[in-house]
Amino acid sequence: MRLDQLNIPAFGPFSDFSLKLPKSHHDIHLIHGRNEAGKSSLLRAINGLFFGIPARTPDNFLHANGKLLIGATVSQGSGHLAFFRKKGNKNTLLDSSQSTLDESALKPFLEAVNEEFFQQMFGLNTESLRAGAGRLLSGEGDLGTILFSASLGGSPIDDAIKRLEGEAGDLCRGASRKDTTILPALDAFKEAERAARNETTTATAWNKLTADVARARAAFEEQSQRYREHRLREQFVEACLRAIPVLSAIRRLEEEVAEIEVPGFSGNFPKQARQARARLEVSRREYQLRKTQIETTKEALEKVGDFEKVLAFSGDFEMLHRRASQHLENLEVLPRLEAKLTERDLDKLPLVNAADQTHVKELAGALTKLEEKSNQLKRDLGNLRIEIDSQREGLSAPQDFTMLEEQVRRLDLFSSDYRGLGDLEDEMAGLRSEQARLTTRLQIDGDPRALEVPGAKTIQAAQREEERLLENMRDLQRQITGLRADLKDEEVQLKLLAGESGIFTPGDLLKSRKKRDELWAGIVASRKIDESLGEAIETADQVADALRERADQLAAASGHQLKISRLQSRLEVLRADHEKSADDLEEWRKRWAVGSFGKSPVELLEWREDWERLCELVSEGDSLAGRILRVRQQEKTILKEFGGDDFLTVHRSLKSSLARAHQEQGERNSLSKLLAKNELREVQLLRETEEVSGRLAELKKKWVELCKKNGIPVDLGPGAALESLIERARARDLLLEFQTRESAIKDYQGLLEKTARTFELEPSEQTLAAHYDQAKLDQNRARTLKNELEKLEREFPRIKLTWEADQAEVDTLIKKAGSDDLESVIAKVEQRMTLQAQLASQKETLQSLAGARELVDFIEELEAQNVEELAIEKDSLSQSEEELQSARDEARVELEEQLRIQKELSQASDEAAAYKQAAADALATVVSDTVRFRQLQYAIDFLKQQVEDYRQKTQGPMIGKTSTYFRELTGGAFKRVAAQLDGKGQPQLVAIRSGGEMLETSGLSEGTGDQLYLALRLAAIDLHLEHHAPIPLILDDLLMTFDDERTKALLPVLTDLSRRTQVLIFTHHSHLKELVGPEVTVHNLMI
Amino acid sequence: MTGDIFGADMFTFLHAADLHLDSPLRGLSRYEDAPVEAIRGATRRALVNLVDLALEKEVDFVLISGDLYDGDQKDYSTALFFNKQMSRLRERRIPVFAISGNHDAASVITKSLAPPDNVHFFPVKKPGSVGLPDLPVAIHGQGFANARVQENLVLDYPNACPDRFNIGLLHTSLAGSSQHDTYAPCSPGDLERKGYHYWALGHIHQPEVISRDPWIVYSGNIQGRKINETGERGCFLVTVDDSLEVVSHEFVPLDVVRWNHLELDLTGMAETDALLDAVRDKISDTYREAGDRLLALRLTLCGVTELHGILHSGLSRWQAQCVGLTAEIDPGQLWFERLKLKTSPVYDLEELARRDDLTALVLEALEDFTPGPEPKAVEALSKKLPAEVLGEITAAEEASDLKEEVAAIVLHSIATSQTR
Repeated sequence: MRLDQLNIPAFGPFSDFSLKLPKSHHDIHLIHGRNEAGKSSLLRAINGLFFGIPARTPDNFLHANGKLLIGATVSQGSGHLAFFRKKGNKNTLLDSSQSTLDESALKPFLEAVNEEFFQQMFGLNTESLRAGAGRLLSGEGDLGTILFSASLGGSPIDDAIKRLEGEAGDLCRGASRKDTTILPALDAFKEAERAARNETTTATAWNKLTADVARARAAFEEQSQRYREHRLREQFVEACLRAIPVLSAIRRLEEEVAEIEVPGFSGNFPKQARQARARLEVSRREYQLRKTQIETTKEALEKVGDFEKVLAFSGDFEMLHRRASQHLENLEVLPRLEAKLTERDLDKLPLVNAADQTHVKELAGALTKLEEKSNQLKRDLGNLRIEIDSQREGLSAPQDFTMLEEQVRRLDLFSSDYRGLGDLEDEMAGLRSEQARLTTRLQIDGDPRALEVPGAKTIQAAQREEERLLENMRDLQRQITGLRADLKDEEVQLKLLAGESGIFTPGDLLKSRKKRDELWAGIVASRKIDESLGEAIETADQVADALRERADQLAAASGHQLKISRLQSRLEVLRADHEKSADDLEEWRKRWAVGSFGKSPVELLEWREDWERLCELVSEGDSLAGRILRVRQQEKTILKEFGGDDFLTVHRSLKSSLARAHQEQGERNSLSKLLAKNELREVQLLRETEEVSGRLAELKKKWVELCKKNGIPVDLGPGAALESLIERARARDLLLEFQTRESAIKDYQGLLEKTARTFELEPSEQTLAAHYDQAKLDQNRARTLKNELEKLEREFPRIKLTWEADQAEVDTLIKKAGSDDLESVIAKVEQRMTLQAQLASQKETLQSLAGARELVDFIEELEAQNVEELAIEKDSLSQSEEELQSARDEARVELEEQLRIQKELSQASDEAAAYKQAAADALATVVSDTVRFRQLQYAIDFLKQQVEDYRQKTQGPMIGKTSTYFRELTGGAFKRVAAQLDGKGQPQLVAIRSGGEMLETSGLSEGTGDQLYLALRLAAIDLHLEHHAPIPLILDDLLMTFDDERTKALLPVLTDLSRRTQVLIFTHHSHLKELVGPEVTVHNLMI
Repeated sequence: MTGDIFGADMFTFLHAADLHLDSPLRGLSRYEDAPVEAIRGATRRALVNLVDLALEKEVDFVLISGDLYDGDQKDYSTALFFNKQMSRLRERRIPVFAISGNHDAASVITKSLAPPDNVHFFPVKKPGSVGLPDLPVAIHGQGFANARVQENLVLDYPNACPDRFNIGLLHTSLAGSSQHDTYAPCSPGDLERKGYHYWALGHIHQPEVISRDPWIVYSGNIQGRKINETGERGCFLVTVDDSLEVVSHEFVPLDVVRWNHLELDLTGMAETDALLDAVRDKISDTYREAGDRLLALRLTLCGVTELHGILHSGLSRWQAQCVGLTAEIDPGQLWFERLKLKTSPVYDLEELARRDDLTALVLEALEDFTPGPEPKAVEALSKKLPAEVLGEITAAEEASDLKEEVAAIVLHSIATSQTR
């Protein structure tokens, strides 16, 4: 693509600017313009043309943003496009008639070049060149990748490789186990395998264990056997040592036994003899005792008194004793009975026998009950009739209250309204109060609803409009202020540049020269020398000298002058705009004043809110007043209808009446039911009363008959009659009792005296009772003595016989013993027995010591032993016992341990299997992660290989082209460049002099560095052009740092490049126009 | 008839094989809160289940067709445990008839510990026969003398005993089972010709009834040990009537850990939330059918999906997500073994290639990519890995998988890398 023509209606300093760029064999153009001529603006214009004018642009100082417009005609092959670009957010691309054009129209010309790429590659100034070079040399971007290994990063592939390496590093990172998975899992696998092996019980181990158990068992048994044998020997020695004295004792005892001479009594002779003697003693004593008892008992029996005589009268005594208390009681009661009897007149109490008495009682009771029942019935009947009358009366007058209900309903309906009246009136008062307040505040007379107030949106729109106008004015003012400041700066700069000699322009030179020439022409014509000629010549020379010597300053001053001029004209424009803005505002205010009630939009908005509120209040107030009036009118009507001064009272009264009416109605219903029931009851009572009356008459007849029969006064009532009967019976009983007691006293007294005479005792019951008791005691004693005597006499023969037998036995023993001193014989026998027992014991001891041996053999062995030798042997055995015991214990412990291990293993633990499982689990992690790791590494290697291939493919040409360009640009001072690693192993670009000296880029001068960067850039562009369509290369004052020599070296390179793509060189150096060759089309930028 | 002679109306027996006691379950990477204890002793517990079943059903005898242990099993505890379980059968007078398989022949512990006297191991040098005294049953069998037996052992088996239910015990790969190495190869015809009623086979871990006349049955192993041993594992409970006919042949699961390989098609799925929901639902559905066993799950995601790249770039993270989902559902009864990706991307390769020359170059080269020599980092790592681990790794991935995975990784890394 190439730019055929640039048309800039409004951008930066350009107004209706046009620049044609005709195509020739070399499409290279030098665009010369002084400083501030707009070269950079032109570059920005081209950038904006293709990619859009940025939102914030420094190029709107002359033309407002909305007016900025850039245009061009581009061509690509046979395709052409004339288009414009305006500033905006969208639809900024326009066709030649300034209609909107789709962005895709530019695509065929730009292809894949975006703004960033264009700026980096094709739109270069010194700053962007150096910045781009910096990134490039650090390996960023495509060129970095091309030059160096892709691992420096920046490209998408680099990013991909980094991320894959990151993931691979999470799995395995050399020998590190931190934050990785494979090696730690491998360690876990090995550890688990090791643990499984440790826990594994091999067959060999099992067999070994079995053998160990057998071996331990054999060892234990051997040790046990040795110990047993030792113990046996020790026991034997011990036994011998103990047995020898025993044997001696036996011998001695045998001798002693032999010395004792007594008949051959059995072993129990002493016991037998002693027992016989003891029995004899016992029997003798018993015999003596019995005999004494018999004599004593006989004596006692003779001393007992004559009780028989007394006991012959025991009946009388008993009777006296039995009746004694009764007698006393009779004596006590008799006087009282006598007194009672004298109180009653028995004659007046008719006697009634028991049967009649019962009959009378029964009849009296029945009569009384029946009379009571009859009376009760009568009473009930009377009460019932009264109740019935009352109920009938109650049901006599029914009442109709339908109308009353209707009235109450009406009043109920009204009462809610009436009750709310107070609230309404309160509300009304509140409304009126607020209404008054707002009316005062708003200063409104009359009905506010009648006012025409603009709507809120209208007011808001007006407010916005006002703000906009004010803001516009403020903005213009700010711009004016800023412009003034810039203007002042420029004037100051100009003054400084002017210095003492002043500012001259080429115009001044022309003018001065013109004046000089005019004067000279005048002189030539008139041949008169004007005195001012010299001055004119001097002035002209001054100006020329100044222009030459202070070209730069003058050029800069010229620039400032131009700028001042532009600022002044801009200031004028702004002032005009400001004035217009003020006019607009004034006009708006005039329009606003109409219908705004003299308020600003903000004030009016607030006023409007209050006005709306006031209108609401007025409407509400009217509505409330209406309701209140209606209620009041209704109240009047009701009071007139029902009378009264107060509605609530009337309402209450009517409701009470209605309630009463309802109540009465209910009561009537109940009453009617009750009446029916009572009438039925009345009939029942009447019937019952008749029946009771009949029975009562019958009973009364029977009563009269009975009274007559029993002599009871008829006029006595049943109760009184019954009482008199009871009284009569009671009196009779008293008399009987008196008589009985009196008789009993007499009898008792007679008997008492008689008995006392018989025994010549005092006639008192106590004395006689004591005498009788004594007789009985004597009787008992006599009886007891007799029994005792009989018993004694019965046993006596036997006891005597026993005594005699025992005596005989003892005599026999004496005879056997052959001595009267039986005791002595017994002692000897006992002694012998003792000795024999000792002998037996010793023999027993000896036998126990002999153990299983025959005693005879043992004794024989004993007699063959030497005590001293035995003792020595015993000591020796004792000393070695502990050792043997320890050995046996050790063997037992060892055996138990082996058995324990065997038992443990027999449990068939799954520890080994569990560890094997853990190993398998760890192995799974190792396998899966290693598979993944492998995949990642293959991917990484593949990508790196591709990058390397790419680099290989492109680096060569890139380095080669860069070297070529660099060599040409430096005029052969450097022959090439190379990519190599620095001291830190980082890739870097180095320049190699023609003599071979290698310099890092940091060691190059600024100018040579710029040449190298430019060479890099040109090489990249060259490579780009090999595969892509051309894009104009724009160098904006790039040659600022290039001296003539370098410039001369560059121009041919650019010229050559221009055969493949358009090259535009912007410069402010006018001498470049002379340096360039004829291939370069020179344009002067004039605005 | 025979029933009259012996007085037995019918009898039952269990046919099991390939116990592989104390052999670990493979492929289960441990993670935090993984139900480690649930898998501990899985093969032992399956054996206990077998013995419990025999006791519960009061079977007349038990058949074990080889491979009681793993070939490299050295732990005596394993044999002791086996003996303890056999002792339980001995207490109830249930005999066990077993043959050694290829693994048993290689195991040192087989030779070391004698089982209880109710366990009869058939000889290995030639076939042996046992007639049961109280039942009309004759059992014939020959075990493996070595780890590899390439001759047809069936040919030397005796012919069927008349009037008896003849059972043949054999550990064999059987012609037609191409997935396994050739061990005591024979054909179904060889088995048929012997005239037995029932061939109790072992070696193939998948239960299968090859034939019903005669019965030629692989009981399969009693506990699956890796992801390619999915589904229920157990034994067969066989009931024979007095006419020596099999009237019931019922598979009874004995496994305590069940492997399950789930597949989820992500075609059309673009949201990660939808993916997680789909995975959750898939796992939940499987979990509901599992009963009270531990489930070891592998999930393979397939289909053409926009999620392809995000899955491949963060495989570990998605693996962890799946682990988390199983923990949410039931951490004590689910073990997430592995997430595999078989998805395809929806990249626009042409657009990617247009991005820059290097990317275009990479994409072009990727079409012809073939895995070459091991990368240096992998070589360095391989040197640290024991041989058995390397073997597992080789077995875990084939070359075609590697190419596919690497291509997917490269493609995704390019598609999601930072652009200028």
